[in-house]
Amino acid sequence: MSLSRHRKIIFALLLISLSGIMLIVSTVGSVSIPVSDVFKVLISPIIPSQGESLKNSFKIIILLVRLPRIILSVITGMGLAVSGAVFQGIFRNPMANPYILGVSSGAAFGVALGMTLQLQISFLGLGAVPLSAFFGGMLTALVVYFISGNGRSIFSLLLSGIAMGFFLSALMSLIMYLNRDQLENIVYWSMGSFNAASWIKILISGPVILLGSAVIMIFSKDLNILILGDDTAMSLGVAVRAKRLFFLIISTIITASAVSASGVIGFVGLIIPHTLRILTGPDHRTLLPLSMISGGIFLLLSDTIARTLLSPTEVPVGIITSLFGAPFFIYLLHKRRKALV
Amino acid sequence: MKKEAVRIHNLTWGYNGRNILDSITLTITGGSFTGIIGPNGAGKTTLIKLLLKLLSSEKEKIIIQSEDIVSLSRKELARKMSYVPQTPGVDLGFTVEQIVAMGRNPYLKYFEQESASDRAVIRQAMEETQIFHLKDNDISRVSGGELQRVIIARALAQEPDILALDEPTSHLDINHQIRILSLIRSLSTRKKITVIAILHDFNHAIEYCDNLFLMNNGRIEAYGNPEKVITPEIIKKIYNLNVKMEKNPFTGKPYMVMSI
Repeated sequence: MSLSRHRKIIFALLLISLSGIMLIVSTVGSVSIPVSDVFKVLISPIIPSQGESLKNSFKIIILLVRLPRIILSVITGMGLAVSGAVFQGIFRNPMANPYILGVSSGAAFGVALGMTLQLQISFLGLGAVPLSAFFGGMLTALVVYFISGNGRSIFSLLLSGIAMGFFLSALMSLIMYLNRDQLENIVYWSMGSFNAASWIKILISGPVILLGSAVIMIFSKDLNILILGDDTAMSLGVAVRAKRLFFLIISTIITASAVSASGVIGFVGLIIPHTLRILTGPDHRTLLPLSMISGGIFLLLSDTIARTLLSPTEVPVGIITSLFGAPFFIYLLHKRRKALV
Repeated sequence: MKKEAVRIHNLTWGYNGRNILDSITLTITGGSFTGIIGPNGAGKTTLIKLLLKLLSSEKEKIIIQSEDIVSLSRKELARKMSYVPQTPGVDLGFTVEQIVAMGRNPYLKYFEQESASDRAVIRQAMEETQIFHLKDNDISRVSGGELQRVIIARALAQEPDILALDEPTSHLDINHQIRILSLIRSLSTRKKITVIAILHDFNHAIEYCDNLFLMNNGRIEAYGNPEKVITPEIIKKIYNLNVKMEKNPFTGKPYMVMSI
């Protein structure tokens, strides 16, 4: 069918743009590196002779600083966009986002608690902050699921998530209020940043986010049917509660991994899937892959702005995503409203 | 002897100690057009939802084509029976064709695209319901009558043996009421689909149905052919209304008139 070919072309174009942008942004920063040198650094592991003429500092900057940061921001953007699309589908609500089950407030609470207790744990090379974020987020989603009556209805799930979010935010504020020496660290973490990006984080978050997204895409047809409501979906042969739980688990794991790698980055998981839905329609078979690539591009660009705008100072990336994303989103909504009239 | 499509045996169902359905026993003949009528709160929708496994029931209570629905998977059941709910939600953004195509879900594996034969079924379902020309329209922008036909097309795309409808003509004007019921009647006759429909208009029930079940307070109050079920005595007893049966000059069937 021509329509699906059309979408494959869009997908390929987005993928090419993503690679191109990754290459270009790796040249910018406090030290400007020519694109030819970046290219040489990248192929030097395969063709060692290409690396001989390079400055050693270039290699270190590219391989140990910029590349991990670029890759991590792309993967995080992908994960947040995919899980945002899933939550919007499950909750049949365009205002849903990856943090709707309280993963972000749970993770932030976990981090605040960890910093205050000066937790010294590590696992697979990950330190206390990402670990307490991941488990704080996962645990919160689990508690929300149970207090909602095991996800009996999407409304009780939604309301439980909101209530839990407020509760944990209050607890976190209390911790910050009582421990002002950690205030700055906690606040800075919760605004999100990739300045602590590392290959270890990529090696752990990357497979989780990419595999999780792939698994969700295999079942994207069910997600389409879930939008029609529980009764209709069941009558079309979908085991609604089991499928919903499955989607919730996978997208919560994706979200918690993204948050643990880079803090709470807002707006990506809300606007990217919603924008793509406006542009290409609600079919998740198209929506999910396109959201994934666009989320990667969006967060990569945001992070590039975050680290260059006020260089050498860095702006938390969460500020950039909302600062630049919100006006674009408003423009899009406005345009759509015109189109509907 | 026609095969039986549905058999319900001594089904009682409720919650919080309150029975919505009270020892329902009934059989529905294959290929027939069966109407379920009765006052609000009689348990009609609950009965349909139990048949479709949207609510869970005990074993050996509901038998669909000689199989206990408890032991059927959702996909298996969805190949036998499809559903036109009372208020189909407006599913913003999907096209008419995408909605109808979802009727093929019970036949597809994960990740499997619709095959040429699936697409033929989808197309035929849209043609039979006369919505093919709307296929690329946004579902949220079609009229009420068109939307009802889209939902029926989706149910047909499931290639069901049994089609269950919950008040398919509510919210429609009289022209569309007749068009929808005539469509369902002709589908039932031509495709040998067993139709089970909750109806609220007695005269429609008389015109279109082969059999009726009249429900009240979770029980079946009367059943059989429409002339036998809709009588002034029964209507008086259940609705406390005085009615008279006249004859419809166009079809020769009984026609109920009320004294207001």
